[in-house]
Amino acid sequence: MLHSIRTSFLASLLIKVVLVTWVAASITFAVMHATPGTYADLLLSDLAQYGLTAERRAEIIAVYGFDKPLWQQYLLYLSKVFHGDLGMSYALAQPVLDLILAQLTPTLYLAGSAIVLSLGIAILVAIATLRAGRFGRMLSSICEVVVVSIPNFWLGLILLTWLSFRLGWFPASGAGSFASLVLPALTLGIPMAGTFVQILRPELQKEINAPYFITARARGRGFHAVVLRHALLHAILPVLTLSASYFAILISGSVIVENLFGRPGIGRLMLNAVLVKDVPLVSGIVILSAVTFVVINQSVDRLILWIDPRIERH
Amino acid sequence: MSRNQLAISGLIWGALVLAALFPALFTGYDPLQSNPIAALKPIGTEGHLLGTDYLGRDVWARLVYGARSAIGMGLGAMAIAATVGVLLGLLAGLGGKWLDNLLNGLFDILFSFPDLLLALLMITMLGAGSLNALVAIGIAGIPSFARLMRGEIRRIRNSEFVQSSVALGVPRFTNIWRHIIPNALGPVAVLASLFVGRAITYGASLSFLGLGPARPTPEWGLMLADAQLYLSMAPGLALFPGLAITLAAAGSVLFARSIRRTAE
Repeated sequence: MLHSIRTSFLASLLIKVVLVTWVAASITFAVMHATPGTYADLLLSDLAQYGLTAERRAEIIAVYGFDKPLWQQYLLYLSKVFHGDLGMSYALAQPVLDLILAQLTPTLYLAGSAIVLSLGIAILVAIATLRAGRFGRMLSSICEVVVVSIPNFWLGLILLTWLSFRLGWFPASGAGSFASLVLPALTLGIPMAGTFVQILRPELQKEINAPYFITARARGRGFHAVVLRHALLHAILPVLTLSASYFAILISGSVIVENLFGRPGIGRLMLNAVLVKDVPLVSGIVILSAVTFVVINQSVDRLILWIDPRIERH
Repeated sequence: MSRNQLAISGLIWGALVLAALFPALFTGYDPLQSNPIAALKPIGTEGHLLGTDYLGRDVWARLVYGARSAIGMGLGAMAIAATVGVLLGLLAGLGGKWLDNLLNGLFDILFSFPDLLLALLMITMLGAGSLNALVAIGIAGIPSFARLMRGEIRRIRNSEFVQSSVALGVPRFTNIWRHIIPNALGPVAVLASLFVGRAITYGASLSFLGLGPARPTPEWGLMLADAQLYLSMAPGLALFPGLAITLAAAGSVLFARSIRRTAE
């Protein structure tokens, strides 16, 4: 029984990954061939600046299949993508996959610290405002709207102005030290904390009115002790459900934050590729992040079933 | 509470629309008129209440004239995303099982692309510029509208009042036109209102990154990109454009919140 569930999970994950890759690769192929001046012209004219010999030219045409009809080029491209070959970057003349993997670590650090920070902020705020009166609730709902509406590049600029230029607490750019991670992580994490709080608070509200909570309180346990020990674990599940959406927010945010703070990473790589119209690199990043989204989404669904088997019944 | 939210969002958007239509009502300055002698004047300067930028242009005037591109971006991108998304959602929700499975699978897949990355992919193809950014943001927003519309139509089709209307012999077209579509549009309106704010923020982000309109267009994201170079000398420059974006986005969030209860 368990075995069949596991295989069917892997099978459906695999199908989804294949479909996403196929659609992404097809869009990319269409983009490459719809751009004014064909892909071949673009590639060959750029290379011509570096003294392209006739033999090398013929070789490139053969590798990309430019001499074949479009549908054959499409199939060739698809088969390359499915074999893990995302092509060569126009601008950096290196395999796209290598370029992305090389920039992965700094982005993962940034995303990881942003998640930890935003969960911390969200839990603190949610618990602190749990028993707030009318005024407190109004204040926190105003804060929610503001936090959701603030563009994160502006938040970053404000943090830079105050904490870096005015107070000199943190460096303005770079990626060398732990201190240089604080401002980028805050910039990325604060808007996320806003969404976390919106999910956490109503869930916690439900928990503190549940019979088990009242029982525990009646036995003399402190309010915050029961919240931390029991209610929080239940309330955090719905936050987990949306992990894939947070991944999307993080990857989009890293484009802005990494460029604002001059940090290396996927977001920096992405913007530079867009600015020089490096289609293979841009689409490589898009394909890989879509695949990651699907993998996270499906795995979290499974994880939640495992944590809370009651969900299966609905 | 809901009425307050509606009033505040009405106030914000009323001012924005007025500024976009009649900017000269709010300021006597030309947003493009530079004046090197009066460059980087601080907030509260006589004649330049919000100060001047590095070319001596009046910040307030540039803010006022920037409302036009912000509103254009928000409403334009929303129009693209909502129109195409709603039509595709209709097609999936009302079409046969086969068409529905096909389209829904496609929406699902497109939904897994982070929308800013999808917009960046479009811009790589179309090139930078404000119209291209608008189209890119609009296209990137299509999947969410399509998914919402399709889900709503499915839900309403199976609801009791439509079932009984079918049982009473009401023609299919009348049912769709009189019952299903009007009821599905409520949640779509909520999403559309939220999307306007998001599109304004994304549009400003793209121009901040250098992918939107070219200088010297008065545009809030571009103003912030310029302000970035003067953070230690003139921190006030980075304040007001961001405030304007936040207000515009908050106005659309508040509007969405206040119509949500009526819509659902």
